[in-house]
Amino acid sequence: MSTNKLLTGTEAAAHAALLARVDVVPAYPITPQTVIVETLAEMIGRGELDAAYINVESEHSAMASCIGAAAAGARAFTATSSQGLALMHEVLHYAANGRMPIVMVNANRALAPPWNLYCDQSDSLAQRDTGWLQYYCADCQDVMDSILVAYKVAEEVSLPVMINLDAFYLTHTSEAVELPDQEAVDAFIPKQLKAALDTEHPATYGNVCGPELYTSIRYNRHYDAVGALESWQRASQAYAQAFGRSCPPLQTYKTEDAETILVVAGSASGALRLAVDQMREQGHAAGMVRLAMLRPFPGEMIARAVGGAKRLVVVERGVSSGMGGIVGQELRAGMFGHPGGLDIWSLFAGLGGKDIVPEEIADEALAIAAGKPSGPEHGDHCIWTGLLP
Amino acid sequence: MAALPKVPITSGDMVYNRTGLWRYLMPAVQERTAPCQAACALGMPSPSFINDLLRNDGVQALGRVLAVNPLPGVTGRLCYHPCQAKCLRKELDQSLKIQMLERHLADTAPEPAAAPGNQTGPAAAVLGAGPLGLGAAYFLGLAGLEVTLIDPLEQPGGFLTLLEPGKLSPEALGRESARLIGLAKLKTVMGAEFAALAAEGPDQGWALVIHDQTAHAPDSAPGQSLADLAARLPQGQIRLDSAALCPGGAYKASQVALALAAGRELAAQALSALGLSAQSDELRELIEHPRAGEPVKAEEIRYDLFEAAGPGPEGDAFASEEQALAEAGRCLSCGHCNLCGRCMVFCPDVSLSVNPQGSALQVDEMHCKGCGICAHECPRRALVMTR
Repeated sequence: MSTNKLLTGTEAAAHAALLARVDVVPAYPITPQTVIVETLAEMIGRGELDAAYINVESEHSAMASCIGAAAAGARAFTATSSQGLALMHEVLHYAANGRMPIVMVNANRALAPPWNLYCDQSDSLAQRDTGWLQYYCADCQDVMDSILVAYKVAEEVSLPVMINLDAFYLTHTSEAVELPDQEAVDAFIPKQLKAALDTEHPATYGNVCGPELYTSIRYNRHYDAVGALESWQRASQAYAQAFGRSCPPLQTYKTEDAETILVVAGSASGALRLAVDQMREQGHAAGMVRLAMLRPFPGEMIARAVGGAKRLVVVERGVSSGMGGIVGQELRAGMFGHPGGLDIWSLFAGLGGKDIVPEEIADEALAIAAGKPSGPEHGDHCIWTGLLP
Repeated sequence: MAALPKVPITSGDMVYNRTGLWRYLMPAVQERTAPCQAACALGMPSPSFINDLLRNDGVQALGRVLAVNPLPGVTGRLCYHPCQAKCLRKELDQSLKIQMLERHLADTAPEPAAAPGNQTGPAAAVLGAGPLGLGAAYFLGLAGLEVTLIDPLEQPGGFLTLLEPGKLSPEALGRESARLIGLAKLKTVMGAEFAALAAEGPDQGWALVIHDQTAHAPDSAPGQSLADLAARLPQGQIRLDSAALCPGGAYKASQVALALAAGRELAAQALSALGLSAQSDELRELIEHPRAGEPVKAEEIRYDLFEAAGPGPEGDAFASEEQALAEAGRCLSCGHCNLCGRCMVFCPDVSLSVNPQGSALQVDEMHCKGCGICAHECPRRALVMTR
């Protein structure tokens, strides 16, 4: 029988790893994910989880240890955030190129300087091209559910998955979380990993190769990642059948007839639903898309969801300096070639932990729709709010 | 492509990944001339025979030596050994005792058997069984000629037979000359037989006569000397003598290698004069080979990889096989691959190996990237990069 508990997002992540019966947890603490690895350490210490807990000296080593564990056929888990994720960058490539089915939780936190421990997605967005699949959670229950779905997908397509949860909004906020029954989870993600490393048959992995083989290996990885979208949907549907909840790559709210659609990755989707309702109260046909998967990019699904709209207003939690909003950029690229001539705006209303307030977003989106955006506009479809005077 | 693994995996030798296609340069083992070899009148292949000794292959070692030097037991006792003066080992501790090793080899290695079959070449005579005449007769005999060695002394060796036993014992000389005669399948006409020949006059069937004027000429009755015999030779034969090669008319004992080299030169000239161009070219190549190319220089040796040894054995002969092998082990093997294996250790592509016969290094051309690490790591510059 499933049980309900009042859990923060970090605790939900630790409980998901427990239910997934992970074998190896190499960990290095960093705010605001520390509670995840602390909770797992306690679970292992109490004997609830039969896993090797490795105190490593850095995040780089944490991921390197995950790679080693996964290569040996173990189910590996770790968690990090911000600077720690940035330090991992090199081995993130190695994990994806090595086709390791690792699941990692990342608490989305701003990068320094200036130091800011709060919610910002620059850390994981900067890892966009490492080959990891990326999922952005809506709430604490979604943290629990998506980690279990992630193991199913990772082990099916042999690619690592990064589960992202907004710092403090999810890591430190308690919600009622339903914990699935262990037996049902075991049935959902049975351990079928084969040890790649076999001391009886020594071999070299990921060795040197020439351009043709390299290109072919990359081709395969790319289309395996593209195909992972279908795997994810299948896994999400299977999860829904087993547990009554799903983790779709995309969530929509009142998009059917919308003229203006708000887009966000992560937990601000709740605030944006309220903004949509407020805009509709003011007579504007608004809708909302929560972009849960960034990799693989669900371009076709987005195109279908926003087909009739005139504009997208992307509430950004990361900036690519010199270019603009990162998610907005992804959407422009993803929508390229689709009919309709969508006007895509980046609204910087959530950097460095800035609260995404429904009223502000509604006002700004309506101003954009009316052709009178309030913030400074440099002709690049980027609107900045909350700047110092 | 669908069959490709998700991650490149190799179990073993990267066979499918033909990294050799990246190559611009290729390592090659070149048997280069060692300084000892260049300094030797006979071009003795010292690094090679010493490596054979270290591999416990005395048969091959002696065979290699006898290809260029018919009397290693004699040169190993008498020669003034310019090889040792040029030995690059002296930069580290002291020159290798090459001459002692040569003597050791000649005295202890199993005696080789003569090549099977009969001599098929024309008949020839060598007048005078000094080292020059012996050298000439030997190389002509190896070239297939039916050679008669003629000397008034009872034993071959000319002036060598007169040396005091402490320098060269009759037993050692006898052993050396018997081996020479056996391998070259020489007929000998000496002592009493010579007297009979001198009385009846020279054989009319000789196509070629070589006269060693540096052999010892004992007192003889009038008309009974080698010179007299030479003077009575019929017209129409090809005749060569030692006058141009040894203007002084005599060699010192320490110059025995020069005498043998002069005999070898006369043999080459004789083969050419007889129109035996294949045999002549073969012998000419043997003579010229050690002089082709610059000898290995000290700056080409990786001295940092060698350790200085204590003083070597005293005297002129080794007390034991172990002592000889210890000395042989000091040889730097300049410019000669001795299969030390260092290149194989450093090759990042496992592209160097020893051939199935265990005799030489081989390069896997499909996978050698031509990085050159092997040539850099070769302690003796035997491995070089080539285009």
